[in-house]
Amino acid sequence: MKNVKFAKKALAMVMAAAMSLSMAACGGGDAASSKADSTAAETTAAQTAQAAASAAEGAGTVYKVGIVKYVDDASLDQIEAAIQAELDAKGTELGVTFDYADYTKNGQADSTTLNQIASDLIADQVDVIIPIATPAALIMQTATEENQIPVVFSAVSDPVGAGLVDSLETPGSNITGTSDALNVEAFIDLMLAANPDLKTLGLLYDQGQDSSKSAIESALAYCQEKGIETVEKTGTTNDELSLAADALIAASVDAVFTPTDNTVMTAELAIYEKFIDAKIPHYAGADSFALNGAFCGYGVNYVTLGTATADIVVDILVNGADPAATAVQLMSSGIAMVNTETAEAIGLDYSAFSDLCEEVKETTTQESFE
Amino acid sequence: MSLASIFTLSTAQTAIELGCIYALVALALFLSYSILNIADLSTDSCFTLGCAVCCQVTLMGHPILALFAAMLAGVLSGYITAFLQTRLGVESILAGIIVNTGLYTVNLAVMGFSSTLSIFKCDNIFSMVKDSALGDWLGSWYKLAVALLIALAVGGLLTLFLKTRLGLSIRATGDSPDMIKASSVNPAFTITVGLCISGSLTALSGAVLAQYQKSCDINLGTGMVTIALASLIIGETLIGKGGMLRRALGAIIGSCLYRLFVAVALRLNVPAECMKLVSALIVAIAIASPALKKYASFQKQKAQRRGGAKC
Repeated sequence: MKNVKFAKKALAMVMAAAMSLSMAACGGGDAASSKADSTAAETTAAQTAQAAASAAEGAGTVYKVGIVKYVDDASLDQIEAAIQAELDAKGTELGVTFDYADYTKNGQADSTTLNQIASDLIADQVDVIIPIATPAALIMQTATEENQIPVVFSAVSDPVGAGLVDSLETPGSNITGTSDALNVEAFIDLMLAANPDLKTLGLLYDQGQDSSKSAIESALAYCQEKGIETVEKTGTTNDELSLAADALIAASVDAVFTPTDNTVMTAELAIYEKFIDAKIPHYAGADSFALNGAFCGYGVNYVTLGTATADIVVDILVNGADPAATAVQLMSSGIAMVNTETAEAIGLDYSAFSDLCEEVKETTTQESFE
Repeated sequence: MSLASIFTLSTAQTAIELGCIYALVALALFLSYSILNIADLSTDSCFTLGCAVCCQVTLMGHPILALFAAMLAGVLSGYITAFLQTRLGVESILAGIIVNTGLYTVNLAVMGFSSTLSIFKCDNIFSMVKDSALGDWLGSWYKLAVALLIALAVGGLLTLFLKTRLGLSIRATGDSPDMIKASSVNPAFTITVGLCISGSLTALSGAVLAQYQKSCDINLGTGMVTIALASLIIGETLIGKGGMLRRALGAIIGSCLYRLFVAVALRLNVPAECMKLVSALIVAIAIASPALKKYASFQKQKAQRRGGAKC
């Protein structure tokens, strides 16, 4: 009797497992790799890339490239797409294949998942791992400590502070990459160009975001130097940030500054109308903010960042560059993205921007890049 | 693709390592949820608290002290949750939620108002075992050995504790608060002790994970309570309810199994956005299974009776 009971329980467990597996199978269907019909699927990605490459030369070397995105997010998605596009382009140019389709993973902001992904990629013997965002980079660093697989991170604001590299010039181990640190001083000059009478600057950010910390510090220092008063408001969720935005409007600030802050980024669509109604321009440290309604997004262009990341990968894999001696690349943050709808609603003239930036781009309010 | 290539040795190894580390949270819930019958929702942040405290103390160069410091932090967190519900009359679920929310700020403060903290290149319990005489003998299994040892030791100690007089009172509190009052034991006291121990185990789990992955992230504990509950219930479904030792082992095995499921799902390239649904389904099926079993046997009885009436 007892045995029967146990068998039933075991059966229940197997069923549960089978269910999760079958879900897996349907989900994987349209992605590049349904492992069920393995041999064909496995080579699909390689074949497509090879077809392109074969025009120049026969099948070249195949490099396995693991890409680990921390979480779904407009900016990180853009970086991922740019890395893949650049790898394809370089692959065709050099007659080699970068197989990333089977090794592109999403950590879902869950460190356990990231740990498991790291172990999977190492088991698959990838040639390089590209973590996107700091938490992913930290876990890949730990996972590759013993095997020294090269790691090329992207979108890490403070690689030295996070302990990923010894210094920006000489990282010193298997890790290098690109940083999206924001040039805050140039950004505040831009605000002054649009409004020379800027007296009070609101700072809106999430204290829990590493990327915001150093940017806010330099903003405070620079504002003090320029004699601009500052009002700081923080929030950790959409509703808290909405309240923080209301508080800034109530404090009648002349402009609002947000660093490259993922939390505010997620809340931008919920708060941009408040700022427009109050005729306060919102300046933020990524072009995707402007897309979601902020007046001006300034800083790193994530496509350029992704492309630069992929170029480092190519340099390491194809040209045999040593990651320990490959400097971390900082982006010359000189691209301003202005939302024309918001600019018109606020009635702010941004013609002076073009003298101060590499490039001024214009956009209208949308949910994501097309 | 053959099963062997889906499930490489190192994939399974990592899954079991993580399973053993998270088993401590399952054991914490075993105490608070299964035994004390309290849904303690402070688990998520308490886990991060353990992770953060451990990172800070490890950075100062005391990896072993770090584990105990994290446990102490967990005890405090559990004490506050218990204080709210036993002395201030806050609903137990609400008490957990309040502590969970408040701890977010505390965790950030512990991490020095930064969302990630790295302890790369610091000594930790894993590297200490690796560098010791045992390290060569264990080879690449040293992480698993440490994690398994901790899980088994904690499981064993918890079982022993539950057999003491105090442990028995805690078990009785969950079964029948009225009876425990009649035996002139204060249930507020037993609940407090239970939640303090449960908090310390949760924080210890976070601490071991911190040293395992050498970093801490403010969002690390999110969803922990669901996962631990899933592990616990998978264990109970599979191993069954027997003695305390058996149930504690069940929690550990359940946690490892859950991680193996997740590892397989990841290996099969389940789209990232589906993973949470898969986890929720595993939990729902596992929790619902006793009720479904009861329903099935009831239907069977009914059918038998009807068959009998006809004869």
